[in-house]
Amino acid sequence: MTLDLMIIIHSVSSFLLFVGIQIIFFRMIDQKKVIRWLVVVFGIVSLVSFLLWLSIVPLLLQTAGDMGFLGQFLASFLLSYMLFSITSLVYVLGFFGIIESSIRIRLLDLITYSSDTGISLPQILQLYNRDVILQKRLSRFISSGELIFTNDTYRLGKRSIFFFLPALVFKLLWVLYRGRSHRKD
Amino acid sequence: MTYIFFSLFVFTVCVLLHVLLYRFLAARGIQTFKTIAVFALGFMVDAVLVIASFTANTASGQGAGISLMPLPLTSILLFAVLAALYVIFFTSPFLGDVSPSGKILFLIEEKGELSYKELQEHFTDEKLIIKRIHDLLQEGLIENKNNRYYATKRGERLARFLDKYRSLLHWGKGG
Repeated sequence: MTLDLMIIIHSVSSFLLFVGIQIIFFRMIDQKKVIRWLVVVFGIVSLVSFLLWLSIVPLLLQTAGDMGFLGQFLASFLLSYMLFSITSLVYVLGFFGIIESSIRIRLLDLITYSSDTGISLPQILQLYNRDVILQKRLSRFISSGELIFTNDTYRLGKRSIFFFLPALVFKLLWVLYRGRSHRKD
Repeated sequence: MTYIFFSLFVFTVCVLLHVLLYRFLAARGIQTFKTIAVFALGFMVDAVLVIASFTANTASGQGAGISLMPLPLTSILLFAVLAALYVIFFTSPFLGDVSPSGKILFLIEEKGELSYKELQEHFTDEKLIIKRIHDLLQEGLIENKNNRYYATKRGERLARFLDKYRSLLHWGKGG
């Protein structure tokens, strides 16, 4: 088997493992601790992914090119890990994240499961509004440690790169596409 | 590795072209998601050139020794996942949405500390809820009849599909 295929199979397997473990774990966790558990699951799968890669070392020995064995091993693992990480991020932001925190989906849900006579805007706002949205997110951040709540104020706690980095990218793209900071909206 | 760098280069070019195209159209009052076709085109260009180059190298016997770990499939897949990720990130500025979670963190980072009341002042039902209801109307997922909202067939299908996934996790409603 070529190294190319090995990298793809390894990264796809790692991703499927991530999704599988995430679904199993998340049936048992507190929904407020979603960020922390995403990080834990990602960490577990990263470790398993590395061990899986170590197990195919004998195969790699057969395909070693002119980078030398160690160079080939490290470079190929990093590539596979990068593919797995990006695919996992696509899944978390593009699918799981939508289900967990999308306001639009929550609104669609409210409207879909309202009575046959539909639902008015005041009724929607009674059930789901700015305060519900804020409190859910603040609760999530406090559970994950990203925010600390003391003396009736919120302060930043430990910064999780898993959240801050995507948030920074969003901010940058906002400036690139709209030519201004998102704070001006 | 050459193919990897080439795919990254093509991806970067696609990003630049996409930004330019989007801003060119936006300046003329045209706002469309179809600009992401730039990445579809980039994917085809990347795939064709990488495969053609790899085939030519293999045929001429140059192989791994010169290109150092030729990884054509990995490089094409790398472009595809980067493009998918980028399109997800692009939806935020496209829809004019600021993630409330991101905004909370950036506000607190800027001010050092904020009370709940101070945080509240930066968010309104108008921007959080009403704007998104209009988006759902525009996307054809809901409809408005006599000031009451109903899900369309398409909206209902999407809501039920996502509900099935949620029930797999034994989770309550998101948002």
